[in-house]
Order: sequence, then C-alpha cells, then structure tokens
Amino acid sequence: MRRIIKVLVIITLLILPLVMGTQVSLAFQYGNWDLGGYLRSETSLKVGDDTVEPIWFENILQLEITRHITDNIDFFLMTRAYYDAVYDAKDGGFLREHRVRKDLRDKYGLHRKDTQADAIREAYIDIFLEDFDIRIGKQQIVWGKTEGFKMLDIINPTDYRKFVQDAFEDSRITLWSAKIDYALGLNNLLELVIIPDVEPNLAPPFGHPFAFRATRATDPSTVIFKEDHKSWKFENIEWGLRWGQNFGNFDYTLNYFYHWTDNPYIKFKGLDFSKGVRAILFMDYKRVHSIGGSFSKNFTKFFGLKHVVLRGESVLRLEDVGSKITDAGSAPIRTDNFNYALAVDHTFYRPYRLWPTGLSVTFQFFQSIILDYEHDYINGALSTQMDPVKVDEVENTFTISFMANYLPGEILKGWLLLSYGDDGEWWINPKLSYELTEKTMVSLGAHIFSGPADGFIGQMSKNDNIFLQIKFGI
Amino acid sequence: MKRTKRLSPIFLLGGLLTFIMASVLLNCRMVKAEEEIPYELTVQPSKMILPALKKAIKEGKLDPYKYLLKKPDLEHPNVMELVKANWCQFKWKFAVVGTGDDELQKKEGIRYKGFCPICGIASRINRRGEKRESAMNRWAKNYHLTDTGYDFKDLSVFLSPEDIRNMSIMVWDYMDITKDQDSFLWLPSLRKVRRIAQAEKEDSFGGMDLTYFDMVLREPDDEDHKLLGTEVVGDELINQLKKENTLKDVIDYFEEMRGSKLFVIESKQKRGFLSWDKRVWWLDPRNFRDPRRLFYDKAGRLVKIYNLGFRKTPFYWDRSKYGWSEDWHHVQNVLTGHSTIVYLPRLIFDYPVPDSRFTIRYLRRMK
Repeated sequence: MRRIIKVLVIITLLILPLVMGTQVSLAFQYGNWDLGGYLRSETSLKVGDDTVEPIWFENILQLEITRHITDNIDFFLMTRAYYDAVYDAKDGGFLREHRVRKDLRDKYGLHRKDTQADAIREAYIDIFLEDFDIRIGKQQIVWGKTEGFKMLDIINPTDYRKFVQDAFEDSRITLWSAKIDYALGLNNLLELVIIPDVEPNLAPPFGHPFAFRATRATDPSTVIFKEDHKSWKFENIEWGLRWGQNFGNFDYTLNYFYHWTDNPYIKFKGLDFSKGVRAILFMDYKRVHSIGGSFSKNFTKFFGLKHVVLRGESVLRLEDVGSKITDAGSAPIRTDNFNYALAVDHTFYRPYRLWPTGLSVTFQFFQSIILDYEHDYINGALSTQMDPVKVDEVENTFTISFMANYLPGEILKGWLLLSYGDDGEWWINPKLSYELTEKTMVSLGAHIFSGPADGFIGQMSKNDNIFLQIKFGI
Repeated sequence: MKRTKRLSPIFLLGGLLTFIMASVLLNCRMVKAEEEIPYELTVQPSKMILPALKKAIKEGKLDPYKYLLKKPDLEHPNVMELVKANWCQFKWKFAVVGTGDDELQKKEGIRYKGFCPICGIASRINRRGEKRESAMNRWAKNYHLTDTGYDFKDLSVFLSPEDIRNMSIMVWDYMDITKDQDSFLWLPSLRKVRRIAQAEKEDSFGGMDLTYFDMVLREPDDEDHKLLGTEVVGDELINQLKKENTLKDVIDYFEEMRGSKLFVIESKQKRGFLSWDKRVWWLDPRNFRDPRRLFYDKAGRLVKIYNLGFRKTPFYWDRSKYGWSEDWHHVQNVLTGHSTIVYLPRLIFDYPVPDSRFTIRYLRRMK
C-alpha cells in the first residue's frame, strides 16, 4: 500500500505544475496549422476483491495536429505517448505472478500496434470536393445512434483492456481505411467505406484482471493460440455502404457492412509437445453480412413529456459465429441474429435540490435475438471446457443514465449509469467531474459489476474499481 | 349663337402630361418609400432582399416580423407594439441575413474556409474572480424568405477550451413557434452526430448566466407587459451601472447614449416556467434594442442584472450601411456572485453563408 501511495504522490507531483500553470497553453492556431491535445492521467484501484490494488496508472499525452494544405485538403495526425506505470510500480496481486511475463507489460504498459495505445492513433488526409468528402488514412468510422452498446458501431474493432469502462473514442482500434461521402442534395448522404486493414477485437490475455472468463482458463502452460490473421489482400477487404437522409425533425440511415468477425472462431488443432503438453487452439475469422439501419426523431410532445428525442438502431447479422456444446466439448457454428435498440432522451427542468439546473435522462433498451436458436448454443467468451455457459434465445438489457450540472457556471457535473441485463446482471457507473480550471478537468468515479460469474457483466464482479482522472487540455 | 364646348387638344395634352408627371412623381415617392427603413434596425435588410421581405410581410407570410418595417408610434406608445418591435430585432438580429444566392457567392469568388461572420469569446467568472474562457465561431442564416418553413439555421463551433474543441451545435429553427427546434450535436470524441432535444427557456446557455430565454426562445406572449415610463440616460443611471460593477465597455455605450430617452417596461411572466418572476427592461427607441434588463424573483428580490453594449457594424456587401450588433453582454447573478461576459469582436451582417454549412455532412468534417 505504501508503494501505491508513493507512486500516486509522484504522479500527482508531476501533474500538479501543469494543472496549476494552466495559463501556459501549448495549443495554437497559426496560419494553416492547428495544434491541440491533452495530457491525461488516470489511476484505478480495484476494490471488488479481497484486496485493494491498482490496476492501472495510465498516462497519455495526445497531440492533434491539423495542416490545412489547401482550402479543400487537410492533413490530420493524432499521436499518443502512452505509459501505464502500474507494471513498474507494483509487484503484488495480479501483477506479481505475471510481472515476469514481458508480453503482458508490452501489450498493456507501453505502445503496441493495433491497440488503443498505438503511437499513431489517427493519420489521414481529408479531401473536400463539391459533392464528395473523402477521408483516407488511419481513422475511426462510427455508425449508429445509441450509446454504450455496439450494434452498428462495428467498423473499428474494440480494445477490451478496460472491459466496457473506456469511452468508445479510446477503446476503438483505429484502422487504415477510406471513407467516401457523396452528397445527393443538401441533406442526403451516401457513404462508402473500404477497409483493407483487418483487425479483430483485442481481448485481454490470461493474467490480466479484465480477461474474459474463457480466457482465464487458458493458462499458457496448457494452451497455445494460433491465429489466421487477415493480411492486406484484395479478397480480405471489408467494405460497407451507408445511406442517410435528414428531414429536420427526423433522420434515418440504412447500413450494410461486409466484414470479418471481430471475435474469433476457435477450433482445436491438436497438441503441442515442445514444452510439455499443450493444446493448440486456432483462431479463425469468418465473413459476416451486417444489414441494419438507424433513426432519430424529435418530438415536441411525447407521452406527456415536452421536448423528447427518440433514437433507435437495429442490425441483422447473417453468418455470424458462435459455439455449441458437442460430445467432444464445444464446436464453432455459424448463426444469424437480430439486434435492436431504442433510446429516449429527455431533460427534466423542474429544479430540485438534487438537480438544481435540470436532470438529463436517457433510457435505452436493447434486445438481441438468435434467429436459428438451438438449446445447445453456448457463449464462447464465457464458456470453459469444464463449464459451458448456455446462451438464451433472447437477451434484454436496459440502461438508464442521469446527468446534472452543479455550482455556478456548471463546473461540477454528476453522472450515473445503471445498466441491468437479463439474469440479474448490474453495471453501475457513477462519476463526478469538476472543472478545476478552464483547461483542467478532474473526475472521480467507480465501476461496479454484479451478477452471476458466468454472465457477461457478472464475470467482472471481482473487478469493481474506483478511478481518479486528471485531464489537462493543452 | 350657342358655342360648342370642345376639349382643346392642348388641354388634353396638358392633362396627359400632368397625369404622367404625377404618376412618375408618385411612383418615385413609392419607390423611395420602398427603400426607406423606418428606423435603425439591428440588421437592416439589404437592398437585395428588401422587396421580397416587404412582399412577404404584405402577404402575411412574415406577419410576426411586420415591426421590422413598421415603426411603433413613439408619441403615443402602445406597450405591446414596443415589445413586438423589440422582439423583431431580437429574433432578426439572431440570424445574420444571408442572401441565399449561391450563384452570387460563386461570382464573387468568396472563400468561406477559415472565415466566420460571428466570432465570440465567453468568460464565466466566479465570485473569487477566477475566469474560465471559451471561444467559438458561429454562422447563421435567415430563411424567412424561402418556402421551407425555416426561420433560421445556425451553427456554432467551439474553438476552446480543449475539452470541447470543435464541438459543434447546429440548430434549425422554424417559423412555426409551436414546433421544436431541431438541434444536432457533433462531439469529435463521439465521432457521430447526435440529435438533442430543444432546451427549455430556463436552461443555461453553455454554463453561462445567460439562458435560452435570453438568447433565443423569448416570445412576446410569454409575459404580461406594462409601460412604466421613460428615463433619460444620465448620471443617475450611469452611476447605478458603476455601482453594480458593470463592465467598462458597457458603461461606455451608455455614455454614448447620454441624453437619450429610453422606455422602461415591466414584463411579468405568465406561466411561471422561469426561476424569476418579472423583469424590468430599458428600450432604446433608436433601434428598439434593450441594453439593460433587471430580473426579480417572486419576493421582489433582484436576482440577475443583464447589461449590453452595442456597436454599429457595416454590412458585408455595402460598407456604407450598418446594423446594430451586440458588442458586449455582461450578466451578473446577484445570488451566487457568478457572472458572464460575452464579447463579440467580429460580427458581419449579410455575409453569404452557403446552405451546405448547415448540414450533417459539414458537422462530420470537424476533427
């Protein structure tokens, strides 16, 4: 504990001069150059188990540079210096047994390509023509209308190092791709995305506190993973189309994405005898068709409430991958599923002591239906060979989030997310953010996971954590 | 011998000439009247759109805006006429009058990039004097004269602080006041456009002491109005402003007005949807703007002081003409000691903003 405090004090001392010296700004806008970015330090303490231990001391310096080459061409670079000090500051708890394992530190402590800690986070050229907007380079492409769950937001894979705690902006793995928007009239847009850089989701490996339940059973002394990584070949290209129209108080999109699965299709490929006896698991990826749409609508009145926004999205996934129980354990399957979500936003302005300037509420309902459901289907990310976890034909999740502002100038923001899933799973995320100065934001929050250990949220129930984040805009 | 009365050709010719002359003179007067604006509007409609504006008002399409062209009787003032004339300025000024003529823009070779007709700096200041500054660019365009039903479209792009850099809010407002505004928020961190519900009148405008009522959503029928009388700008008012620690630039504007007669109006809200009960405000009959507003709660306590400074701003197309732009806003919350200063160092009227600026496509370009 003393060591933790020591590290926290050092980090705080390093950051304080920057925090207090906010009058010095590195950001500038000169001629055709724009520079922005931030320095962010986040410390998280795991409190959900028997012991309190740090799970990250993450420090990020992000610089965003824009060069306006001509009136119609921009170059944008987002670069990151990344260092998670936890691997150098702590040798107890989950880290003790794995501290010697270099790959865990390399993957999660420092820069690594194709993760959220990539040094070149984004780098692209924008070309703005009369009817076309073209963006080519490493980027994030985001579809969909709902928040917190990824239905149409599937262009970029996800880095799950913090499970679902990270903002999507951070957890998306950026990809080299091209996005071409074609405007047909003022408010109609056709978008084509082409992605030669195929990457899967990044699931934390064995030993990491946020490793999925199935991964926790894959001790490297007993299992070897091999992967069929999709290289830059013409036949591996992912591509998608989106059509969008905006009528003012109503807008919609229609989406199609032809892609590789972001989660692997795992097959047993035999045994390896090089270092004892180890099972070889082969991670393969399959092609999927995702067909969907989204909408948002503004209501002057909605069931007695004034000023309401209704949002929704859905996606039909054809030939998705899954698993099922077999006599030999489990086997991969191809399956079709349909997912949809509805969200309602409203702000209650009648002031109460708890929300003196209004309370913004968002309610979201998600449903996932397996169309060709059979009783022996299991969840691959949760199932172990000894303990397969069956999936339900229909899964429901409700989330409700509250946001309110406090203090004159609204410099204190309160946030609370409650998420409830079938089978009694809860995820609770309270957060307070205080604007210390115009450039410095301090946030204190927690993530509480609850539910059966074989559930998607419940598998992290020993990973409840509190975090402190200091973000200094430069 | 009876003389036959005959019309002399000279008389006929003379009559004809007189008629033509009278018509020409009358017509000239009519034409002249077409070009005249009854008073110094916040934003004078340019010559390009004035005929269309007059036509629309005459046809009742823009009835709420009739006080743009009809000056209230100042000798025998009717309070509702004064309020509506003020409302016209409040709403009309909100949207920079664009010509809507993309062809004209092309012809003129206007380059839009990096150029903004409205640039604002807002400072939130707490009771200890600590300041939090934010800056933004803004484009707005009136659509009154189109058949689209839009009143105006507006786009604000925040430049600082870093946390909200390039956050953009696009608003489409309708002539039909019963219809909600459509608002779209672009957060670069979210990487998607999110539709947001229309704010309530009482909602703070970006954490400032200004509310949406103050900035956009005020309607003449929200309140009962009473004309309290007139006040000549003099030592008493200026000393009061100094006592209230009003910003020097705002006081300077009142100094410029020294000797002018202002109407003093009390407006009491009808539906009780706001945190204050009534406001007392001063109306400048030169331009029908309200440089001073005081807000009181139900117990009669002063809760907010809101003073403005204006300046004459020339038109983009015709530098010899000008409109009144809001130079400074100084809002003080008496109860919390918090205050807000908004400075608009650059405001250009009649700038030809393209329609494509107010689209989701444009929002998605922000980084």
